[in-house]
Amino acid sequence: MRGKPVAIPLPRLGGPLARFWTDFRDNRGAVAGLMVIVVIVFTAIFADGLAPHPPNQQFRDALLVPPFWQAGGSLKFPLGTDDIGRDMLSRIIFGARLSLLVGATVVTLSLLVGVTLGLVAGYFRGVVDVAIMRLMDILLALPSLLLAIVIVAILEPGLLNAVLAVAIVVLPQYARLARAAVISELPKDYVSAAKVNGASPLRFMVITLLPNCAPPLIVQASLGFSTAILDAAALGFLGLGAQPPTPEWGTMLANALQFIVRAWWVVTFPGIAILITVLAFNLLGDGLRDALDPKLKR
Amino acid sequence: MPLLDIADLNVSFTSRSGVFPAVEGFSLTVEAGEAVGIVGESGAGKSVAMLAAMGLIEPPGRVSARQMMFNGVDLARTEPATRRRVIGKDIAMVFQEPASNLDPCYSIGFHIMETLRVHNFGHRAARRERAIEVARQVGFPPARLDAFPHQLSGGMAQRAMIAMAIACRPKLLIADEPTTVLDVSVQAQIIALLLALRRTQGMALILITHDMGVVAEAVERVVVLYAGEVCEQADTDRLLRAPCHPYTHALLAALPERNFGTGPLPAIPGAVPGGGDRPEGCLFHPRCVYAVERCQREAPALRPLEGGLVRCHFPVKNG
Amino acid sequence: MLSFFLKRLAVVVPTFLGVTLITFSLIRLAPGDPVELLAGERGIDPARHAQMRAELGLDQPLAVQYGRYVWQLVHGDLGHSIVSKETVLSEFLTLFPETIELAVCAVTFAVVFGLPAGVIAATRRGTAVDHTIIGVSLTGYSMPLFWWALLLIMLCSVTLGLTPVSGRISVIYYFEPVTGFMLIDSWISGQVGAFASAVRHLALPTVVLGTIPLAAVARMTRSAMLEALGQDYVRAARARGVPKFQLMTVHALRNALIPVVTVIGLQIGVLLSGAILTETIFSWPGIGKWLIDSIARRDYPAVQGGVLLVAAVVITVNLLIDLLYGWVNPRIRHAR
Repeated sequence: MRGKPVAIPLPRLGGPLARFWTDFRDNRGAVAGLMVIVVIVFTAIFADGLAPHPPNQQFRDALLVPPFWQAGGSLKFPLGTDDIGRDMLSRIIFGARLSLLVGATVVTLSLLVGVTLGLVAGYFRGVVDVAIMRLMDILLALPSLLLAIVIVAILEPGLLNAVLAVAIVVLPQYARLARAAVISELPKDYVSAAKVNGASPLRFMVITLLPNCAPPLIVQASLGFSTAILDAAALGFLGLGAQPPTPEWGTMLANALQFIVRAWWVVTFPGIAILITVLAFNLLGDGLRDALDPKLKR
Repeated sequence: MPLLDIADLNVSFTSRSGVFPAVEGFSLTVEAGEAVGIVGESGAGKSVAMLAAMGLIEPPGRVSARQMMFNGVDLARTEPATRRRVIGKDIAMVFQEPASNLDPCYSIGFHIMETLRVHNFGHRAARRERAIEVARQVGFPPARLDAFPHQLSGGMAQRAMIAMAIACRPKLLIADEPTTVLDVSVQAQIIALLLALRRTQGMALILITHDMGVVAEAVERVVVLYAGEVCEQADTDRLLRAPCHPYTHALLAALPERNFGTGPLPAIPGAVPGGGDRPEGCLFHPRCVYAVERCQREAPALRPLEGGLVRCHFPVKNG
Repeated sequence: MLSFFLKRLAVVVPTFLGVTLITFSLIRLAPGDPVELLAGERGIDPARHAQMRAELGLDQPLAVQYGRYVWQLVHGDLGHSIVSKETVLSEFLTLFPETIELAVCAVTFAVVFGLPAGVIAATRRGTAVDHTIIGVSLTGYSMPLFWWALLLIMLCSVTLGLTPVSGRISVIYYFEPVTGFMLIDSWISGQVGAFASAVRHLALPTVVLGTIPLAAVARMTRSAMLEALGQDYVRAARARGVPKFQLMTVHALRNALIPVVTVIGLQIGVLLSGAILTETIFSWPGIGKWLIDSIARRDYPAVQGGVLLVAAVVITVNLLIDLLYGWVNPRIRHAR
């Protein structure tokens, strides 16, 4: 005997991770952001295979060639070439590698240092807290790009120093978040329990406290990727970040103003690459926030 | 003609997991100047029914009714604009939590005068005078009209809410558990105030509560709601003396006053059915001590009994 | 309210002192010899070098040097620019109105468009209008400013020929600055077309600088409006017969303003960062361009003084925003 097929509802796993995934999956923007990021990561990893040309190879007979769909363009240079005959597409593909690397380094650095500062401030309170948070206030009193510019100016322009500068600039956000999370967690029962059990402060902070403060930090880290990429690109644009001929998206735009009339493709494509990457990380960050923060859930 | 005549009111909420009926087939008439109590556990649909009457249910909530006659106007069929002119003027509502129902950005005086302005009550000076007058009536010191909500105690805030409600001299006041979040000492004051206002203003009063003590003291007629349906309706005296529905019976038996010194309270086992777990047959049968096989199968209809209405196959026989 | 203000002030003073410590260290950390950096010369002969070192107090212990630095600051002495030989303070004050003008226009642009966009998105929640506003504002929020500027120049100036590419006003107009604000000066100069020219020069930089604040304001307004619309007091106001428009403005928007003001305050730093890029691209003669130029020219006294003054501006504006916040939030204004 055959009955009608019965739709068996998927078992809803009770774990917080499963619940997070269900919420996250429903957010179309966040999923789109994640997919774009996966594509960019893929591009960055396999840049050597994907790019039609080496990023710095100059085709002296093909200066400022337009993209392939315009008159004069060819599929040899799908997005055209710049003023010294380098393939735009290849440079943008290799730029993805740099931008992701910048993002990852900045986020790792600032997360490590910022969270440590915040944990210490929130856990010990008193003078240590005041000193650390006042330092963070000082960093916040300076516009982030100005601070980064000054740091780079002291350290000499270059990609590495730009990364360092951007990482310092965003420290206060992580420190403040971590501190706020610690302070809100400290009065809770499990904390007293762990303390009674004689956990050492360090062990206690890293093993007990940190996982419970993670959600806002994860969101901030995701959004931190976009800030890092934007700021590093801005520094590159101002000539203080990655130096030519490095195929960094911001650096590629550094002298683009002169091509506005002649070669729109030189101006347009690196910017689109930045915008899409930053947008993807912002979408992901928003989605993570909605899925991780029950307060903001509607 | 009754002041308020609601017939067959249905309210349902649609969510991802399905349609959840909050109120089903609710009917209620209130005569001018009458005081009616609506009782039931949390989630029984008491507030939802009254919010629906006020037109305050928003999507995803859906409201339908055969009629909602108020003062000769069918609120179920009028334009929103017409309805808005009635709401707040002829029907006013007082809510459970005064603190969250007052806009933190405005003074109490602003709240009262806004209500008056919305309903075109005279000029600015006249409104000001009226605001002071109603403040006095509810025992709110007029000097505190400039105070902001966060500066008031719960009892004072509730007096302010009542002042706003009676500012336009409504014909009907709906009070939705007006004392639940207040201190015990203030509760009695607020109930006394509502009763006094009802007398002096000649308003009808619908009092939503789960406090049978308040019911006994304040209203002439009681409607008992269970899981969105009326299960019993009768005059207060009769209902308290001789409840017909097993649920009403159980509610009264659970009152502390009636069990003074006789051991543990006889709580009603189980909980009000929610969205997905509404039983077949009588909605109350899983928790009913008298339930038999027929109760699981067949939903009882609301029918007249002993001067009231009851929804039960086997009403409790008293005496 | 007063205690709220004093508490803020108590945080401001040490913060500002901290900033002076940073600007003080700036010259000493920068690559190269501080004497040469401060004098703007290289290869100074040893005798003169020692003399200058003593004059500048660089032979003293660091603590004394810092004390001297703060002492000079208190007396309004921020040093001289190496390039122009003018005092840093006077250079800053000449250029500052240009940046204020741009920033004020950008914030106005952001609020005038962002606030209604957020309100509309919140009231039409879940509709195509809402999704469009969310999408556009997130895109604006993710925009690399310098590229956005290039794109707009390409579109509005090159392709459509609507706006000038750079500068503050067309070179055919000249008048003595009165207020330092070009819009006002060109208006009171009475010269035909001067005001229009100033506006046309202002348009693109305003849009570029205002884009991120606009997106931030729209996003925050939307979520704050949604939050407010779900509150009991909005329902209670409906129960009093308050019409929809008044519900949205008098009640929901008024409450939503409290977090929105905070967001506008947070945008001040973003705005000044943006001003650096915007002014550089549009050759706008303001503080941002001046700072970048000073760094490029290795004019360290100018950079040192400029950074300090910018920090002072940010701290002051944030203090004002805090006051504004206290003023829109009755819980602070009428603290019990």
